[in-house]
Amino acid sequence: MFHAFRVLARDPLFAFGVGFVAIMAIAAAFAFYVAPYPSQGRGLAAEPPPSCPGQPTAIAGVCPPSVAHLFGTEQTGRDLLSRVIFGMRTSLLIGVYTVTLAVVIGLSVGLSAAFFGGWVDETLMRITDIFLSFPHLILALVIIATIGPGFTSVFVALGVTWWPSFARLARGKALSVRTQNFVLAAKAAGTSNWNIIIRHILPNSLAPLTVQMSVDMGVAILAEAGLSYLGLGIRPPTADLGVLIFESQNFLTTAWWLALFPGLVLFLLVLSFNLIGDRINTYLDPRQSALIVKRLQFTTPVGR
Amino acid sequence: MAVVVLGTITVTFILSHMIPGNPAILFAGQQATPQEIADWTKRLGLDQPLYVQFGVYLKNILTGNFGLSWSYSYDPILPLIQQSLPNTFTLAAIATALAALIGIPLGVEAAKRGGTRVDSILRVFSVSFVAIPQFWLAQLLQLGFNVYLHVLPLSSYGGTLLYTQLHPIQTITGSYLVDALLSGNFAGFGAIAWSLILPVTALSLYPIGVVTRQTRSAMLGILSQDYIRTARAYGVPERQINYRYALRNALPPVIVILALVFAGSIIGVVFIEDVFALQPGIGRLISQSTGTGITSSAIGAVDYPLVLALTVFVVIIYTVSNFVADMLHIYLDRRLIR
Repeated sequence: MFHAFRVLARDPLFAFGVGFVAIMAIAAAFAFYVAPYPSQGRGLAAEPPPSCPGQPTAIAGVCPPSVAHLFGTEQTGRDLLSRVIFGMRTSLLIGVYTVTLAVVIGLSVGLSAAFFGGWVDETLMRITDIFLSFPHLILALVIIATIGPGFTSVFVALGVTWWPSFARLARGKALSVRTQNFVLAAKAAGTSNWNIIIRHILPNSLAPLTVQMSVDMGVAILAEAGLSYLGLGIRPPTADLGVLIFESQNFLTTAWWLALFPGLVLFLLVLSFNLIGDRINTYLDPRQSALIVKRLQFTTPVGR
Repeated sequence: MAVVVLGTITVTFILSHMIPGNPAILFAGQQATPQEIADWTKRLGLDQPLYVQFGVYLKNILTGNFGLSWSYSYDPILPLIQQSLPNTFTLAAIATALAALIGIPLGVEAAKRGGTRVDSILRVFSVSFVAIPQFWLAQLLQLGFNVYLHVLPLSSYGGTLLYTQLHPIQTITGSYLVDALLSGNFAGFGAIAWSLILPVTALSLYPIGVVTRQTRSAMLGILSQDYIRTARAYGVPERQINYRYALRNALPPVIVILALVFAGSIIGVVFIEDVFALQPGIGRLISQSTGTGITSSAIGAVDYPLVLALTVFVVIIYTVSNFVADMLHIYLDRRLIR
């Protein structure tokens, strides 16, 4: 594991991904201390609204970037940098919740299918197939349209549409674990099914899911921003990157910073997760990892 | 395939019964008398047992009766969708074609130079294309090419509406672009094509990235095989090896991805049609029906019959694309027939 990380960290793109995600995670965790105007980040209006003399866009407190407001300000004078930090925090939280929910459902389905086999396996996997051939976003959209928008709705809707790939991965791995001697031994010793699944099969089936989790974090964050952009996710005044981009639409011709900064942070965040997942995938794929090793030989001294 | 569509219909049916509020009241109006509400309950079949309602729902869908839209002054839904499909299909088809024309050669190049600097750069581009939020990219393009460079129109069919009033486009297929071309209205075709440059760019970067990566990984698997080495030993030109011998065998999984890209573009279109105010279109209908799109009238008013009908439609498009992909896969790769 540690060796794998050292090999991977030599790749600048992987390092960038990990670094950016780490910085964002820290900024999100300490948003109240990092953001210059935490109360505005949470959605309260600026008191008093900032004035930007000589600027043609001083409508409703929208000011271009300055020293006091590095990313400029948005409607009602809120500091955009603070909004972006809090929005990014929302994105990360939704991403973590969605993927966690998806992994929990996926693991339960996948492990049960693999362990019990027979008709349980058949039924569960057919259901998984149906969900897999279903466009995620449209299902999430319908669910939210029914239960109403909001933080919980978003991650629940995304989570319950997201699990099939995890179920498949977990089942595949668990099938090979199930026939191993230590599982047979546990069975012979009279351990209950539940205990075997939790204590023996689960820990040994987690590894292949980690790559998928990294990639899905990015996709889930993107999906959440898309839903919020359509008004089906987080509702203002809670900060959210999708909502910020949606709101910037009205100011496109007058205030470029409103569109640029939230989108840039969203893009880099998704990109980072994708780069991490992509690199680990390449590393695990023997056909492609040969290429990395070949390239690393040119860039690092032999013998380490 | 049929199972997936049936499953979807079941899900939408269940969801339609989870809607808060009584549909009969929504149809009858808030000031309706109990008698009127009872009439509507009977008319909508809400007094029947659930399984009967499900049967009626299924029969209606099979006969193309998706009910009445709430947001479009109680118009029947099917014509609304029929009128929107051609334009959306045109956008999705162009995006898919671009993904194939640009993505496949890029993927071949990346695989050919696997592990080199070119490969790395292409990888950064393709991963970035996949990570860019389409609605943000659309805004950036508007900002750059319209607000600052003043070269391309901000919104599409809307920007050409004035023009099309002067030179009306005959309705043949329902797709503006195709109709203009078919009816020989080349000026109109040019104007519409010009206005579609930004939307199509915003829509197709994601598929280009996906196809590039897929082609690359498929090609890498092929290029290391013995028959390629044999061809090389025989002195077959490198270009011919890559495109005639290797690509042909790498193509089946790429074709599958292309079919998925086409279906996936229908989702991307929701954002693109919204940002560029392209109308009519499926994406526009979706954002309108959820009552929350940029141009929708009342925020929070969800047009459930339309949402559910659109879901069934999108899933049908999805499953048909999947099915076509599978068939093509088998056709291209005869080893799959056993």
